[in-house]
Amino acid sequence: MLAHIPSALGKAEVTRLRDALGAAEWEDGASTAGASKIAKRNSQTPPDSDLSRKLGAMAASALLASPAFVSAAIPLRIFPPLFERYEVGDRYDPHVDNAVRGDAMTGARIRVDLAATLLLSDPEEYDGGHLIVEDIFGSREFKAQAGDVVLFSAGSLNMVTPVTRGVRLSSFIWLQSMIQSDEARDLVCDLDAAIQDLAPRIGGDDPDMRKLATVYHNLIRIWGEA
Amino acid sequence: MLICIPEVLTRQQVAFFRETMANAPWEDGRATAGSQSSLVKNNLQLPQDGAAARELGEHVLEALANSPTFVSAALPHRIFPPLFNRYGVGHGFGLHVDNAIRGVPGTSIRIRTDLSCTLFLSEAEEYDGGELVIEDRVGRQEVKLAAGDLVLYPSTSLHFVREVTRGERVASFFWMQSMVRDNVARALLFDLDQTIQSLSARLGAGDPACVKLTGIYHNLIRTWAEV
Repeated sequence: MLAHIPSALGKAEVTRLRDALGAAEWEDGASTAGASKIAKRNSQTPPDSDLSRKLGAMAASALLASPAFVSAAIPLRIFPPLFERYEVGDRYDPHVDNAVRGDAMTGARIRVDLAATLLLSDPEEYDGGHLIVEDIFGSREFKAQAGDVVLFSAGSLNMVTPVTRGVRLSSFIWLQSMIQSDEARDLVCDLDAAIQDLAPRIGGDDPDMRKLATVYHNLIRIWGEA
Repeated sequence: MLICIPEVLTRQQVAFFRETMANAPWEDGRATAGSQSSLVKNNLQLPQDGAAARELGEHVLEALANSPTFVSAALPHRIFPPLFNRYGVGHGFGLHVDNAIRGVPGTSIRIRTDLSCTLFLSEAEEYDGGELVIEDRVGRQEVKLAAGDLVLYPSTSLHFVREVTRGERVASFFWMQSMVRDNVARALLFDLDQTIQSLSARLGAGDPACVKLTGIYHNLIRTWAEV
C-alpha cells in the first residue's frame, strides 16, 4: 500500500491544528524512535502531553471522516497521532517503523500495519523535507500540500530528506488495519474504487452493483479482524 | 453453492453417449464405493478402465473445458476421470458423503474431492424417481435435469439418488479438486466473474471499471489458488 490522499483534511482544519501547535512544547523526536534513534533528528510534541492528545484526537477524527483514507486504510485502531517539526538540518534517515506500539498512557497495543504522514506545511514553506517511501515497485518521493496524507505500509523503508530552508510541520499516524495483509487490503480498496466509479454511472441499486457490494463485504468478512 | 449448467452436451453428443453406453458391458457400482457408501449403493457402472468409459470420459472433459460457466464456477485443478452409471427400476443410492481423497487408478495422482458433478444423460421424462437429492443444514435440494445438463455441488454435502420406479436413468458423475478449496471463496469468485461478464457486455470490456475489476478477479485467484 502506498497512497497519496489529497486534501484528507480541509484548509480550516489544517489552520486550526497549526494555530494550536503554535503554543506546543517540543521535545527531541528520538524519544519514540526505537532502535532508529540515531537516524532521527527532529522535534515532536511529547506523546503524553494534553495538547498532543487533544490535537491527535482532532487529526484522527478528521482522517476517519475522509472516505478515501478509510477506504485505503480500513482502520481498526489508530495510535494517538503525534506532531513533528523539521527545521533546517533536521531529517529522518531510512528506517522501518516498529511492528508493535504500546500507548504508555492506556497500555493499549496495536500492530502497526500502516503509517501515515499528514502534511501541515505547504511545499512552498520549506526546501528539502521530501518523504521517500520504498515500495515493492521502487522508491517514491512525496512533497505534498498541507492537508494531504501519504499512507504507506509500515513495513516499507521510509525517510525524510534534510530540510534546507524553512520549517516542515506534519503529523504522523500509526494504525492497525482490519486487514493485515497489504495485498488483500489493496485489493479491497481497488474493489471499492471500482464500485464508487460505477455507482453514479449505472445506479447504486443496479443488480450488478448489489453483487459487487456483496463481494466487497464478503471479502472483508473473510479477511477482516474486528 | 449448487449450480446447474444447461446444455453442456449437445443433443447429438447425448445420442452418441447413449449408443456407446448401450453397447458396453456394465459392472456393479460398488466397485468405486467407499465402505459406508457401498452399503447403500445399488446401481451399475461402466468399468472405469473400460474402453467406453475412457472414450466418453474424454468427451466429457472436453465439453467441460468448453463451458465458460463450468470453468468459472468450478475453477478446476484436477478432474477425476468421469464415471458412468445406470439406475434401472429398483436401483438407488442411499444417503452418503463422497470420499475426501480419490486416487486415480493406474497413476500416482490423488485428488481432493472439493466438488461433485452429475451430468445427466437421460431425459427427465424417461424415468420416475432417480432425483439427486442434496441435503444441507436447512433442507434438501432435489435435482432432475434434462439430458446434457449438469449439476455441480460441494462434495462436503450428504446426498442420495432416489430409487428409480420406472424406466432407466443414465448419467456421468465425477469429482474434482478446485484451484480454490474454500467454498465461500470460490462462490465469491464466481459471483465476481459473472458480474464482470455482465458489466463488460453493458459498458464494454475496455471500460476502466471493468479493467480494474478484472485485475481484482485475477489477484484474488492469485491469492487463493493452489495449482
